[in-house]
Amino acid sequence: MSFTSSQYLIFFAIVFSAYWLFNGRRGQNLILLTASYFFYGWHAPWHTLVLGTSTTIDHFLALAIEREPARKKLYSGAAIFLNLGVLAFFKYFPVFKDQLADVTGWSFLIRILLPIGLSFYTLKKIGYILDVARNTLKPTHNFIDFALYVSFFPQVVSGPIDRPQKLLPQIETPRTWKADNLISAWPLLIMGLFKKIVVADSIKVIVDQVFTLQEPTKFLLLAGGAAFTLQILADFSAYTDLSRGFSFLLGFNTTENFNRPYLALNPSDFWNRWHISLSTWLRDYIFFPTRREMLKQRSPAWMTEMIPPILTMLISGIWHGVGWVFIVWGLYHGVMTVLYQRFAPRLDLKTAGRFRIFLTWAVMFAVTIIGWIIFRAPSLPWLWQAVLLEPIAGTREQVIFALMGLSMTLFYAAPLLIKLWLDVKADNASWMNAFYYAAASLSIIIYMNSATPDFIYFLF
Amino acid sequence: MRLFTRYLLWLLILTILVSFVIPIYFNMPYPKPLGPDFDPAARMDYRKDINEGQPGVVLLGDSILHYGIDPQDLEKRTNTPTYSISIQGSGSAVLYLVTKNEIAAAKSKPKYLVVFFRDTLLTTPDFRVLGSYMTQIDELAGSEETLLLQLAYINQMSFIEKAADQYFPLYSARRVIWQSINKHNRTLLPRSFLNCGLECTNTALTTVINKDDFENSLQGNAVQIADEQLYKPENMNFEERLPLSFLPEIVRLCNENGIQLILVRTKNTFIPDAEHERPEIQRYIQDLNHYAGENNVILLDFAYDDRLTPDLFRDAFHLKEEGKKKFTEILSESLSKLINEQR
Repeated sequence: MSFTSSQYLIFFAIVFSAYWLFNGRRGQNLILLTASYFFYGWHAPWHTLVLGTSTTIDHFLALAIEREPARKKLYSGAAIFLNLGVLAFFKYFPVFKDQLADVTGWSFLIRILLPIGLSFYTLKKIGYILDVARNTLKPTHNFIDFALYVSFFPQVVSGPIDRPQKLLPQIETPRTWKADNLISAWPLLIMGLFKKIVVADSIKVIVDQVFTLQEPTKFLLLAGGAAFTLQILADFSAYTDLSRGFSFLLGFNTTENFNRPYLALNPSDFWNRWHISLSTWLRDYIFFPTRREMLKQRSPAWMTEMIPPILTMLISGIWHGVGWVFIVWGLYHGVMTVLYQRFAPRLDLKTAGRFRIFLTWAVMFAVTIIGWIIFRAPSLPWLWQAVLLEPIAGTREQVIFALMGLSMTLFYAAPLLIKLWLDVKADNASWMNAFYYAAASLSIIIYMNSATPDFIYFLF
Repeated sequence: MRLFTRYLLWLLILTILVSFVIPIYFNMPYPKPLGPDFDPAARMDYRKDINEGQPGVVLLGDSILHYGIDPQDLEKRTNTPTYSISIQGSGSAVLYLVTKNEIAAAKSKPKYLVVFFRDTLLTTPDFRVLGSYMTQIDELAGSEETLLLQLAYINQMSFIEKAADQYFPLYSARRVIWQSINKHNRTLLPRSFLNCGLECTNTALTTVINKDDFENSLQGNAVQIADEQLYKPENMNFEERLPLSFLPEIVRLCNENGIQLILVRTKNTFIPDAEHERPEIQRYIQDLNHYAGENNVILLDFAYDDRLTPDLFRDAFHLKEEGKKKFTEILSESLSKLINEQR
């Protein structure tokens, strides 16, 4: 169920009403858990088996780690192996399912799809297991609480990848309705719907058109890349806003996932602002452990500088999808991080001139757009051809097409830039801010129709 | 709370303002009748060509027809004048409108109407009727289209949508407002740099897209994602969907006007054979076949035809030139047989 569909609104209304009728934590958690599994199994009920089975195994493995600390490496290793194994199987299964179906004669194999959200809740569970193994977290003995932590429906499909330290204590304490729940929720819900329905769905048209051309010119590629840069931010941050908004309505304060990422001045800054829950997960479970291990092994300094960021970003690329484009995208960001750390001059924001700051920002923004072009490209040969062999501008019609794309990008970026300006310059409760939200609400009505194209990140 | 109160106040003010301004600006009645308004002045006209050419066979479909059949070659092979109407992005609403307003309304009616479809398109009346698809529906619709409004639009509206459509002008006028916004935001830079307005921009877009061979799997993927509506569980139940669809009316129009309706199911590379097909679609096609047999309709199913090999396709749905020749040859064999039997 998409957050912008009428079925979801009916579903949420029912869950919200039933949930707040209960005073007790246990009843509330049971309602949420039931609702989460119903939500998750809406399109493919058998996916709940994957979620439920893996959750059960991880719960008992975490308890086993607590009970038998001497065997924690065995149990945590088993948990990670199982989780990654399931993830790898479903991610790569589409590559060979046709051949397997032919060989076995089991035609149902063709219809097996990647369970949505698998990439997200797998990281949640692995993080949980690792924190228990490191003794930085006491495992919960309540299966319902743990199962709810993993399957919490506002987050299960596309994150945020909340840490157990953040979400579990909230699950373990009773929630009571407060006006603050609504005060925190409503701006997020309005902005989420606006960014998704008005901005992301509108700009998607141009992105899809450019990236399905067989031979786009460089100018078209740039226009499509700029449009996708806007689309992916609007789409993904919209999902997070809606997720957080619905979580607030249920009394949960969940992790912010975006902090003005396109204002970043260097790659490290970008990854501190973009998909924050994933970046911090990768930092804490891949980057820091790798670096620590290399320092322990007294690896050469240049290797300790290079390998952790490149490895981390490579894993990020693989996590995002199957295919060489994702690997290259990950490597690209890893290499950019290393190059910036090594060669970029230090910028002191307090003393640097405006022009220098602007130039630094512009270079980083260009790096970001190039990264998104790689990410969105249908294949490496396609990208290779477009970058190396196609003309810069092409025919007049192709130039017009590219200008149209840039036009739409500028137009749909404008409201987000206005919001950015308001957040910086205006008081939160100002009349201007209130007007913005009212205008956004009416815009949603203009742009809505009965189709609900799904969020980009459903593919992961 | 202060922000929320101010927001509600602004929302009320703006809502009242637009509720007064929009009916005046767009000359809309209040309350508005349910469903979209169609502009009878905006017309596509195939009747003229049909009356002049007097074809024995009319082909009707979307871009799959355009890339799939060569009407001149088919005409030679069947020895029957042939006219092709391929309307890109058409759903069953468009097929119905063309059958009613262009073919059945022509003075010189064809003997055969060959309609190209895939999967559940014939019984999904709300497929491709919103957003940018409304333009071609507008151009094909006449002044009174009760069935179109009911099946494609009103039946799909919930109680809240119906109330909003009638009593909330911003909601009723949203398509027109959206089109106006779209018109301006697309042409901002083309107009500024190249003095290229809306028509010029649309022509450029069409030229680039029609000239380009789309990346094979991408186009198919994009279309498949967009067409998930055809595979919703409720849409795969033929018996339930039939009375709520345009198909009975298309059949009636053909039977009453002495036109032999032939339904042609086309192939795609996602589902090369019956084993890969969803069981629900297989049942759907069986039910369609049964219905066709009872209603003087001929069904030609090429969905699993192994003469149409994957190398003949430019993407998941559309054929290359060689594929077009092949499919024309295959179709002409079946059509010639039918035409000769009926002579």
